[in-house]
Amino acid sequence: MTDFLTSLISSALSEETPPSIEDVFTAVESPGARPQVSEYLRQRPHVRESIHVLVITFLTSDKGDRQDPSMPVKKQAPSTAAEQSATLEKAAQNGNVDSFRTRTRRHLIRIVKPEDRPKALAAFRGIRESRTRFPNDIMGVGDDHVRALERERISFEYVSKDPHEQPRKAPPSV
Amino acid sequence: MSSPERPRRPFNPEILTPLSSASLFARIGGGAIVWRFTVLLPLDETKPGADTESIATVEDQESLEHTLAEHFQGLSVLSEIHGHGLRAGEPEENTLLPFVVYAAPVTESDKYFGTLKEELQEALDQDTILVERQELWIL
Repeated sequence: MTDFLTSLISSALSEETPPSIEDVFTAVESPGARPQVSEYLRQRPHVRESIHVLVITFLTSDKGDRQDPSMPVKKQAPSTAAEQSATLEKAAQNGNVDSFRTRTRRHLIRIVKPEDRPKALAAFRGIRESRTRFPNDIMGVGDDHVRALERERISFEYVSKDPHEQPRKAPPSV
Repeated sequence: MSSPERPRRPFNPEILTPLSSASLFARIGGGAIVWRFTVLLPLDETKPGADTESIATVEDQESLEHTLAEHFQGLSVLSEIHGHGLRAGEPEENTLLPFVVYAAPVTESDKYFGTLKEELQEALDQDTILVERQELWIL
């Protein structure tokens, strides 16, 4: 198993013969091999990261489709944290993988009209993200909560920075 | 589980106001024990042969959230959880909303949440409202 994984990762990182995504999932998900794979990956975080990047790259590639296991893995793995974050967001927007949606933005908001607050709580039902509540009716919420408020046309104001606000241009230097 | 002869009424947060004070605030940071209370608010219940019945209204939720946030300087509301089990031999399923609060490890905190539990049981006509308390050390 370890030889197989080593060759799998080596070939994934080379430019020659990419493994199929089926190979990756078979190696990681096979119940019989799971203890060995877990121990192998625990000792080698760099390999674990490579597999993670491989899977993300496949799921977010233009032709990527979890339904087609014969599809070769695309080569351009995201390198920087910013690129990886953008890749994760793209995966989430495409609805590919719920489990990768770990980088949701958080917002501090206030629902100004007291009579709208119960409506907001009704709109939040079923959202799996947690939220917080502070004195003076300030709420700490995630993107899904904000989308629910917008969908139900419940007015609110941002206490944290409004994400839709255009960045201000620096004044021209004299 | 509710009894049909007792109608539900809105949750009354005013009963908690005399029990609130700065002594309830958890000490966060610097090394201290805190109590983490989790109040499981029942949103609905489903029994065999019956439609799903709403229990706490969104007005009750809002009232409880607002009150706990003001009395403890904040709380977390986790995602809904589902409880399953047998009650008097009949299967029952509930949807519960967890409210998580850090409080000072003092008798006043126990009294506050004991009163809250009783008030919720009365208002929502429930045999019991689950309130959990865990002791934590905050570094």
